[in-house]
Amino acid sequence: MSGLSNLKKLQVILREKTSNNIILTIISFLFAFVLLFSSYLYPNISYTLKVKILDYSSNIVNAIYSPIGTINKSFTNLNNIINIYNINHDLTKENENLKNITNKIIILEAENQELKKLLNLSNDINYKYITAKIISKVNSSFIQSVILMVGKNNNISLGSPVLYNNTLLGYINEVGFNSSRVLSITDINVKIPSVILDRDIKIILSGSNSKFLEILNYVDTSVLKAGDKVFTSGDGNMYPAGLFVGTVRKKLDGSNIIEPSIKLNDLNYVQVIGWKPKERGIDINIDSTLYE
Amino acid sequence: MTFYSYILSNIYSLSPLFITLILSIVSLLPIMPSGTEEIAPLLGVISLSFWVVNRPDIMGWLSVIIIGIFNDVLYGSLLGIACLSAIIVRLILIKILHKIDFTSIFHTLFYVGLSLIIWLFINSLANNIIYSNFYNYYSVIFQFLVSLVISPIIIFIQLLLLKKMSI
Repeated sequence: MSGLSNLKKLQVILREKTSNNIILTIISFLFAFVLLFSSYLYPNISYTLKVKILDYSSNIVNAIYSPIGTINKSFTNLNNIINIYNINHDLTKENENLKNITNKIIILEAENQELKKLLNLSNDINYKYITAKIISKVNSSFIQSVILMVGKNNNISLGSPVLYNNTLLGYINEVGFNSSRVLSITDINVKIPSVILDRDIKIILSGSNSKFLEILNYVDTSVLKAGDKVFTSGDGNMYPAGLFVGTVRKKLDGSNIIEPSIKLNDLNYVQVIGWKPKERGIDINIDSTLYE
Repeated sequence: MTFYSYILSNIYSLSPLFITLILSIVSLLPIMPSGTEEIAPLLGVISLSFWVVNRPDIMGWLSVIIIGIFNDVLYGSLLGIACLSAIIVRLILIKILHKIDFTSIFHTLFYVGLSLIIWLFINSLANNIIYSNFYNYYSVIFQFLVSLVISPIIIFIQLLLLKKMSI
């Protein structure tokens, strides 16, 4: 109790002593405004500063992430064990479906190879990728991103698409020497040129800072059905074509939204594609400002 | 006096700053159930307002600016938004503190709620002006509510430290 009364006395004294010094207040506000406007007008300077601080703090973030990540994983495992019967039931059903699909794929693949040979088509590009560890997940209503423990030292370049098992998750938005930031496809500032292969409809998807993606363009999307698969179209040179994005879902008002197939927050490791022109098999001159 | 002995002698003075920075990092970790990550509590803001209310001498302008910049870097938002939010939070809290004589744990909860509203409002406004995009307001409201529910735990833990500091 004496501790508490001491605390109260101290608070009263401190409040008397602490005041909003006008000069300090003005300097602080000026500093914040200068910082805000300079980072808005000169994004390169603020980018360099942000990346430097992120690089230095990445080891601390990683150290704090490890134990909490382990606890989180343990809870997920525990949840899986509790629901093992239901999960097994669902997986058995899914496995039966997949067996049928696999047989179809084998036939289609053989047919595809044969047609490619007949048409003398060149082989697809095999992208190189780096597996990266996620050290922090930015859970905010303003921004959806994660921080990776890889950077320029690991040949990561700005704008590189980030995926997991051929499913698009986002792209590298900031890159330091040892760490980098991935902007998730669900972030409001991310736009993805996509295609629904079954219906041959090209759409542009946009994140909405929620769990779902929205369709931006005004094409007639009424023909879309719940369950249609959405892939990247490769337009705009931002992402490789053919990466899985998500599945069409119907809202109560009948409009369409896209549910990403994998949540970036559920993963601990991701793949970063080498997106430098040479790594993509491009040996002609292209706008170098787009690539670091 | 060496640099390290100076640091050691001022460890209590620096602890609020470090605690707030660490709690800002913890906010970014997978502490929320899957699917609810975007409404994770703003632990850094709760801690910031706690120390501004209870030890405004330690949580000065410089500390507030450092916390703001660190939050901007962690969240990847435009540099200066969180810094401005933190400065406004401190300014308003100190103004109110001078009008109210006594600070109890319930008052602290009120200050924390107010800080969260200021922080989220400035961030939403700045993001809306700069990016002029549609904004998911529901997650902002729920983030505020979740932060408010979690805040008594953070306040209680920090109160223990505050008592040790004042003895």
